[in-house]
Amino acid sequence: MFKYVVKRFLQMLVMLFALSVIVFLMVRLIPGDPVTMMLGQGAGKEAIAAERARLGLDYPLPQQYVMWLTNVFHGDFGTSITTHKPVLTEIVRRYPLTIIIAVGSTALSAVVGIAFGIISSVYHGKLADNILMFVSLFAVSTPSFFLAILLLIIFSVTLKWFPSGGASSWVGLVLPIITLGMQEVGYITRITRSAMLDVLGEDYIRTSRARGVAEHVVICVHALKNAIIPVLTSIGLRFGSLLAGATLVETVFSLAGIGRLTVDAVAGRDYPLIQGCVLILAATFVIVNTVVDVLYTVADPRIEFDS
Amino acid sequence: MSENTAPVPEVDVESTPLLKVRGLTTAFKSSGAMTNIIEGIDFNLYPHETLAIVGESGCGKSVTSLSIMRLIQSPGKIVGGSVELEGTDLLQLSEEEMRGVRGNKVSMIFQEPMTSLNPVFTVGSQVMESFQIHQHLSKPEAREKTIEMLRLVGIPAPETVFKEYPHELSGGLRQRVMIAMALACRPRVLIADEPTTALDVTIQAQILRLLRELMDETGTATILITHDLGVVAQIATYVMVMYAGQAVEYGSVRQIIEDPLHPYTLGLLQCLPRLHEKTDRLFTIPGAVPSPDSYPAGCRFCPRCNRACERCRDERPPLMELPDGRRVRCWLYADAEGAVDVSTAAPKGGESA
Repeated sequence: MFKYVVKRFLQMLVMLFALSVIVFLMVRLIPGDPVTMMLGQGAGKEAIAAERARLGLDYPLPQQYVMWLTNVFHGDFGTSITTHKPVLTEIVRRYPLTIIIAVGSTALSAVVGIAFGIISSVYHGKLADNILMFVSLFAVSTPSFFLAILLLIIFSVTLKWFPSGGASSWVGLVLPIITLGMQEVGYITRITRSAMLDVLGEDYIRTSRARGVAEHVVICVHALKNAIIPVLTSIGLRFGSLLAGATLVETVFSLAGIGRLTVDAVAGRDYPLIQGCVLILAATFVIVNTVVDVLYTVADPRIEFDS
Repeated sequence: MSENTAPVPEVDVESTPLLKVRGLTTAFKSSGAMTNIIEGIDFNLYPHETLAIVGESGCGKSVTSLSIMRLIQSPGKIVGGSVELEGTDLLQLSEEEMRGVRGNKVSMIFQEPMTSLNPVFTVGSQVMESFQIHQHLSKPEAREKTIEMLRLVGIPAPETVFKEYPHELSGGLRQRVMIAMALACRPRVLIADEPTTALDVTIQAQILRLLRELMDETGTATILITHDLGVVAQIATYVMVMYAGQAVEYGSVRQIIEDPLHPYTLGLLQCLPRLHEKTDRLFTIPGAVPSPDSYPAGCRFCPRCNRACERCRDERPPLMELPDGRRVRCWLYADAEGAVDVSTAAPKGGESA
């Protein structure tokens, strides 16, 4: 077990390294020059050259990369070109909100999705199954911007239960979390249902019943523990898309999360800020998936720890 | 329940049957209609006795055993008959009461030890559950009893095996675990559905010996489902031969092995290669078991039977009981001296006419 965790951790480090290279190069491939953008189209050649030198953009790319990475290791993500504040300060200020929304919608989708999936599989082919399948299809195929507007009209404008924007208290996070989690609810319902249907047909489920195990224990313990692996995988993988989706939700609900920060940074060609944001988001994704990988071994003892 | 049904051959006049199955009929819904998969199954099971149910694949052996356990899943349904265990009709119990019977008074060993244990729970926790459910033991008590049970079925180092997962054990060990699980609560009746089919020949003998020893020790009666007549000869006391969802012959193991009456039983026996006979090719019964929705009008075995006559094609043979106590469903014996028609009218379903 320990060996497996260490191995996954080392793999994660390699991944993060590769990631940093890609992020660094990608940012520089965006058309448009940050200095021209800062100083305006009319700036003189010398002024531009001076500014480039100040920002370290006149060095060859490999050297720029090494400098950036060294600084990152020292906790210095550079200074934003547009706001002139340290990138790290910006990220630390904006990131928690995004994490809360992403984790909140993951939790929502896991709890509701798994519950719906189980109910659907138990009542396979019956009315409850048909209703839940319709609901999940609806949830998966509704674009989140549309759902966001719909929720805003119903719950903030008409019923006035929730604020239409801002996150001054947790109440403001309810609608964003529902908006972001809805598609996931649909996905997880479907994945749980099909995994459960497979497992419920297995011989060992019949063995459990033949032992006199109560039906709810058969389903929620004996079957679910076998069916949970694909569900976990999906939750881990979809966490990345939740982080991405947060950008849109943050915009609609006027929340100051990292998603909007990233979009603004891209618009301003703010190299250090883009690099910082993307690196942090990508790192989160890699870490979450490593954690999920380790969780597999808890759920399924057949997964080899050291193969 | 069974007042009006015909007597079944008595093994021992003193003892009353542990399990009385009468007219057991199970149907499956296919394209809207209910089709009987097994029909009018009758038998008695006495303490210490082993009844073997024999037949080819698809003739209803497993459905019979699952019906007794009431583990038939939708679209299947038990449509008639009774399964009396020590005077209680299991088919009349509530689902809750039935759960108290399963794994406790009646338990089952399945064919595939590889897939019949839950892969994500330790062996110990699965066996332990029986004690916790039926005897309401605390965890440490149940653990102790489980280890004792694992030792009883001949598992070396039961403390270690307790903590292992099914995939870490060999097929033979897993089947021993299944046996330990089934016998944990000292059931009155054990149903073993092809318990040795998936195992190596050397392990088969061990498992059979173990089963027989445990039977002798606990007084459990066994229903052994198999297509292996070698196993039948070794372990069974009574044999019921099934074909296409019906019992076609019933008698003591001696009667069946030494003097089979029904052409199907004879065919099954002839399929066994013999050591001391010189043969160039192995005997087979031509054709295959018909599917329940295409049974012939007369005897269901008629198309494959080498002794079929006009009557077999048109009329269904009744189940006849002969003076020596054995039963056979074949026109050849319908008019034998002293033969009595003991067919139970099969309840309403697709195929029964």
